[in-house]
Amino acid sequence: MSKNTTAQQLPLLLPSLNVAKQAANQANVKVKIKTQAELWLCLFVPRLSLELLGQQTDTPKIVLKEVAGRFLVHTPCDLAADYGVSSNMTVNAAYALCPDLQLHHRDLEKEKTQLIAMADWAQQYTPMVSIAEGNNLLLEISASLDLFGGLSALKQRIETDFSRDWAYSLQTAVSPTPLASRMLARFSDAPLVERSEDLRSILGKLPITELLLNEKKLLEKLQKIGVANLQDLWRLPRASLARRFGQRLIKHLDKLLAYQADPQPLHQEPVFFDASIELPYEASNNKSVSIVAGQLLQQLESFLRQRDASVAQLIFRLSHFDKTSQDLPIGFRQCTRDAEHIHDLLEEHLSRLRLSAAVCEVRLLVNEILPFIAHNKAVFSAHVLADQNIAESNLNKDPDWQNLLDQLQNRFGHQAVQYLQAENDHRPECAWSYQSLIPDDKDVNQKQRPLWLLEQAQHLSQRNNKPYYHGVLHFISGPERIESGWWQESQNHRDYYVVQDVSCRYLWVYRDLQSKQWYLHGFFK
Amino acid sequence: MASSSDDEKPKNKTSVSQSSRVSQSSVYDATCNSYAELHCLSNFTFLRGASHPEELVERACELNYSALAITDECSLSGVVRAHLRAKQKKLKLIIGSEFVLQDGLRFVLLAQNRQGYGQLAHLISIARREAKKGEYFLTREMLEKHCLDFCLVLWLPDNNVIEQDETVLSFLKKIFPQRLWIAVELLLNGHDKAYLKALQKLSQQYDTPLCASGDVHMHVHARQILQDTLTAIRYGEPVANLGTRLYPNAERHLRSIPRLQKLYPADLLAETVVIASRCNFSLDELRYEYPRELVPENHTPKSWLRYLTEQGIKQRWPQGESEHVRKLIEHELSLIHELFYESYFLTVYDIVRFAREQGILCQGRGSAANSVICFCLGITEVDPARMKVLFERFISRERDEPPDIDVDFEHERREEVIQYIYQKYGRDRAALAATVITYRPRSAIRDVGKALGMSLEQVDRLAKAIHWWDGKQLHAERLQGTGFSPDNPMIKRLIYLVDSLIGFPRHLSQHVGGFVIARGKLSELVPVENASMKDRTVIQWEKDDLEALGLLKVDVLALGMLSAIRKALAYVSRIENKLTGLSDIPAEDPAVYTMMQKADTVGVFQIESRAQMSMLPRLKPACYYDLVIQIAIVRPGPIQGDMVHPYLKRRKGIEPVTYPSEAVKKVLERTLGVPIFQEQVMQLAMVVAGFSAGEADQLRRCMAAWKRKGGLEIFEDKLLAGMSERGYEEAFARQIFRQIRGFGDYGFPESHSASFALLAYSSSWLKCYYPAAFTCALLNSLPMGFYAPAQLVQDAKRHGVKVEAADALYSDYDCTLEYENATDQKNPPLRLGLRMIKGLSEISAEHIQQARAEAVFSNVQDMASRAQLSKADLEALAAADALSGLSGHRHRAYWQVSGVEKPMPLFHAPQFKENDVLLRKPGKVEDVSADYAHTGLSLKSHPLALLRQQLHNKGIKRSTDLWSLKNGSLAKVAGLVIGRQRPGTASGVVFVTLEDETGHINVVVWPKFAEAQHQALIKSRLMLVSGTVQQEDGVLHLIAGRLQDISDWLGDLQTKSRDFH
Repeated sequence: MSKNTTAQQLPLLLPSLNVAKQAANQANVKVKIKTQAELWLCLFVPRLSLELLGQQTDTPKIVLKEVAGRFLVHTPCDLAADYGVSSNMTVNAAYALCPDLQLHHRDLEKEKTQLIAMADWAQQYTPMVSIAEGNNLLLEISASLDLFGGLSALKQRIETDFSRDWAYSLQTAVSPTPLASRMLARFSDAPLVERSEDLRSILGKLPITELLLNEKKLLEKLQKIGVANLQDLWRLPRASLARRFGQRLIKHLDKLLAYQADPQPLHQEPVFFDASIELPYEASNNKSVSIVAGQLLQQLESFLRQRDASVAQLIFRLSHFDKTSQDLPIGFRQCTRDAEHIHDLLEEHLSRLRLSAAVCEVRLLVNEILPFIAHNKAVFSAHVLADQNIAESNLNKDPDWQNLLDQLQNRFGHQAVQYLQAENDHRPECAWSYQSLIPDDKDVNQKQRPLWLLEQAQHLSQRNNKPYYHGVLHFISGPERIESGWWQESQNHRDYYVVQDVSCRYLWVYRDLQSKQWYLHGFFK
Repeated sequence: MASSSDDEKPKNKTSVSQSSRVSQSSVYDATCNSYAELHCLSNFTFLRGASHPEELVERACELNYSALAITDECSLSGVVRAHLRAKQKKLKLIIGSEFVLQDGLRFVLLAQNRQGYGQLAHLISIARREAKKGEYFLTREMLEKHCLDFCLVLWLPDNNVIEQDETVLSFLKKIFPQRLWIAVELLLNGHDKAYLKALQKLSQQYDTPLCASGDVHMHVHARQILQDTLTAIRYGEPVANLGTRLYPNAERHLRSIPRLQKLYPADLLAETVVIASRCNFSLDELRYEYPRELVPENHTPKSWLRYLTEQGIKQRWPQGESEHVRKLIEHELSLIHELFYESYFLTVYDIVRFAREQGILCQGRGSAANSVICFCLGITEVDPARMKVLFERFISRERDEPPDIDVDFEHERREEVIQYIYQKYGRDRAALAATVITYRPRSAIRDVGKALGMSLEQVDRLAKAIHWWDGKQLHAERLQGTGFSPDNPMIKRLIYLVDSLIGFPRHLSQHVGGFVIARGKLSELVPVENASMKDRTVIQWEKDDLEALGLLKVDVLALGMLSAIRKALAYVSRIENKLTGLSDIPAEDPAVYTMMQKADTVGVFQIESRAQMSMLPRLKPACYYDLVIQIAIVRPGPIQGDMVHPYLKRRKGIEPVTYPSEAVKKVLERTLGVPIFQEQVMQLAMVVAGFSAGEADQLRRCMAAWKRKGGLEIFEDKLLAGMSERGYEEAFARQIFRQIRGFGDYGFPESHSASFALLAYSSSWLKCYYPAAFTCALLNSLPMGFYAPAQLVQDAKRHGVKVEAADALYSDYDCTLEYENATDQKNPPLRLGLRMIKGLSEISAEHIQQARAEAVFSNVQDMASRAQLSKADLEALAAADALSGLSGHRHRAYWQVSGVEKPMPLFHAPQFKENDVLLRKPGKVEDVSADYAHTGLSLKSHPLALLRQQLHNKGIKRSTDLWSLKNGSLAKVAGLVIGRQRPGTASGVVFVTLEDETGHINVVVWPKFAEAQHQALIKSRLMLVSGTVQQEDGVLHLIAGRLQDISDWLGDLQTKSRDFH
């Protein structure tokens, strides 16, 4: 029997320390730095938000961003750009140029996921990968140069691999500092800068708007004293600059020119749980699988406890000798790390499962680890609460009851076990719904309503202008007129009545005010 | 629980329905077919009521109701409209109001008579004044303290709950003995029968009669959709989320009597008629009583007005008045006396007298303002000798129309006048009229869109698609190019709802200056509530309402041009000591008219707009009355009414001056047979179509409101019929009606035009003789008028005024005239003030002025510490290039400013030794851009001059070059867009005014080009136009073909265009 468990902790590593020496020297900038310098390759993915939408189509589209409550164009597609749509335009202006425009909101979550995936991918070239704002990846590659045959070979290799593995446009740049690389990556023809001494002269030609200063005000101030490009800035005395525009600017420039360290947060591999146990023999009955799974679950529980974490779903993968496998996914109503509870649920599954072949390995996979939330059982135990309603609603928080529901839903499927949710609506058919989640405690002021509502109201025949249902109906109360729902396509115009039929059952009938027809809608108990 | 109070007599309790205490049982038979709705909200219960008061009245009439009560929640805002329509429809209207106390108790109060009305209005005032704007606060204690002897009350039990808080009944019974009913509102909620039974039991128990009522929120069933939408707007949530917060059905409308008969017992319906018969108040009973304090003790209003007039005559005509004037004065005085209007004239006189004593320039206008009496009282400066025709009908005896005098004051000092009124009459006797803010297309789209659950971004996009010149309706085709399909059911609903919502009142705001002053407590005349401005109160009625009831109000308005004229006169009086007031400006100076005829009128009152300017060279005003016509004629109304060209043609003699009849000639002779003024249209209706004076007056009101409310059609038939009866041709009749409709929006009364013409003349005179002083005064009175500072300064330079830049070493806060450096005393150099600098506060500017007076600034640091300037002030100065004297160019100024340190407590001015740095000098384009960005203008160069080489290479001409081109030749010009205008005509032409370094270019964009190039038209700051030159009568237009937005050529240059409505 062999086992392995993989998991990563969450440390924050700072890259190389050789800049520290430079930092020590920052007071005297004239000193030349001879130490082995860092080298940062920036991978800039300029059109990620747009390219995430998939293939170019015939319809022009744009991705929107929200800036101070206003919607602006973030990235236009080529077609839209042909119409004259450009970044930072208002949506109305874009529409005016191109009426068929398709709008997409920027999906920041998805972009982040993609960048993380790219960062994972980039770790094949160097362990020092960082995700920087503005859809940039920073790779510290000084240590990888020898391995990959020098700078241009490495750069070439990464670019080729990228275009093979990713469907996104890419711009790259290399320089001794993260900031300079990010700045240069914005230009398609940026030169390779290997020595920090060259930074001043190469960057000097760039306009100060490219400075990646996240302070619009500061930028404006610099423009006001006539600083147009970085060269103008190099010319000004450091102390005077600091006095006027603050230490932030000086620090920023120092980082840019490698006078000061600019540590980047290291990208880490994702946290997951993956453990497996090989069976010493082929098991063809569910029982042996269950026992081995139990051991894996114990491992999982202690893994989760160490990290104060829990899971919402997991997968048991049963492998067979012929390399095929069978997945058993299990989901929970509430996040859990209770091995016993999970084991019970597994048994429910196993009891209904027919093994397609003998099992030789059981593997437990968890892709997402979530923070653990404790249940405050003692405080809300049912007997403390006199009020029945509160006790009932508290049932929804009772872990035992939740576990039972888990069990039922795992056995019969989620569609089979659902809650009834009262909805706040005048229309009877809209006044309730099924919910697979715990219903809200909505304050619904319910009128007298039958417990059993027909799925489809039943048309009633009429005798002497009166509705007829297995005999004459006796009117008890009503009418209750309901005219509502015009904002959907299902507007009601009905007069509801409570009636009694010949066998003394109470029925709920209505008259449609438009068709003047009678319908049976429900039965009172 | 308290039992019935002592004054109630025991009565027959056998009948179940026992509402018969006050009524004879025989009344049932007579009235069981009639019904009076006693609980009805209009849309003046904002975001609850879903019908206009007029709609409710009309519907009640159609349904044969015997009466209708309008009972808006703690408000009487809608009752005047209801009253007018009810009078017309001969429906009995009851005035009432719904209240909800703090503890949830709901009831309706109805006024029985004038006293009851006063009590009701006063209660509303008390409740409103206790709460912030738009809300009210009322408790049982407040109710108990307030006298409501002449009001009836309907208790409104909870709609759905059968069990009621019975203590309420004993409480109400105590306050309203014999005047209390339980309102039974059966709204088909499924429990109506049980509910009725429960209330009947209560009624018996407490010996209080029942009556039917409907909790009406709308006039017809179909308004439910809108009512639901209003509810959603009120809650700020989409309709679909509201669930049971919406009403379950549409029963809250005015229901037909047969339907009510099915729902209610007959006696409950009959009782409503009984209640209605006890309410006998009409708004017509309100009579305005003038303040007493206007007349000294030994005088009557009549003798005092006579005395003041005679005093005025001596001043106005020191050599003695002419016989003609004397005749007019006697005529006017007797008319005023006959109609008891003395106090009104005395009220206005008192306000004007105060203003004059304070040196505040003012000028009256309006139908009565240009009477000889007003001239004598100093209310107006329009000398009757300069007019021939105005005075014949300044007050109409037949029409019993209240006199109308609006007084314009200097806009910067009007508040002093308002405070004087408050102080003189007290806050409980003087208040501002309200302005009902109604839904406009954009606000309606926003609110409806949100109510339908559209996203903010969608709503925003839709709302913006309605550009200001799209008129008042939401057109489906406008949605094209916005990404919304007009076929989408949601959009269809939206359009429907927006159309219904437009014109609905949203809230009350304060009128710009309409004051009501009462003899007694104002709150007993009309409810008074808090305005959003601190220490301001407004009444619940607007100007039209007051006017309709014949209540008099004084309009105290603000006019920027009066400030400018006063300032200009003050500057000029330094060299010309005879000039102090408007009356000192010499009349009818030919040089002034010559200037006007050349359309050289930038900055002049009224005749400076693009449309006015292009009319001046054609109309060639040569005397005061020409100017009166000029001002009235160039309005969208007369253009729509198709009469500009006829007038011009007749004036030029191209078309003969003819009149369809002698009667018409009398009315139209002074305008060569073409109706131009509102007064003429009214008079025409009377003369040619037999309208009575009252009808003509109604027509005038309708004209002003028909776009909003409709209702002009009834007049159309009457007018056409009346005219054909009198033998006029149908074509002529139709033309008259079209003109009336055209007037609707913009019709201009001659009486206003006359006053405006005086100010137009006075400002032209100043511009003509003292251009520097005039421009200086305008700049110091901004914002006002049509032109931005850049245009005013450029115009001044064209007139030979030397303009100096704003500079911290020389400028005051205001712009100044440097007489000491003047070569020509009439036209001294104009030094721009620090007020032109964006971001510099007035206080800081004054500090600079003071510190500089002590000693000249040695450097920026010295100035900063002595004038206590903040970093923001310094940066504003540097950015505006106002430190060039101290620091040199802008970059250096900014560098120095950003190095200024805050003074330490011990050292007066901190000294830093700092080496000089090398800073690039700003380029010319950069400099001009920055000037525009921070002062709105540049004296260095015109932006277009900087671009000229580039423009020239593209074959683009300067505006002056166009004059040498032949009619019909093609040309390209480019200029800053300084104005866009689309008159409210159906034709859809857009006028664009461009400016380059040589002057203005008038561009005409025909609708089809405007539509196709909408973006370039609206978005351009710098526009390139290719088009055809058209010259006529000294007016040059470029008829646009292609428009191009070349704003990016300007770089950072900021220019401002004024878009006019």
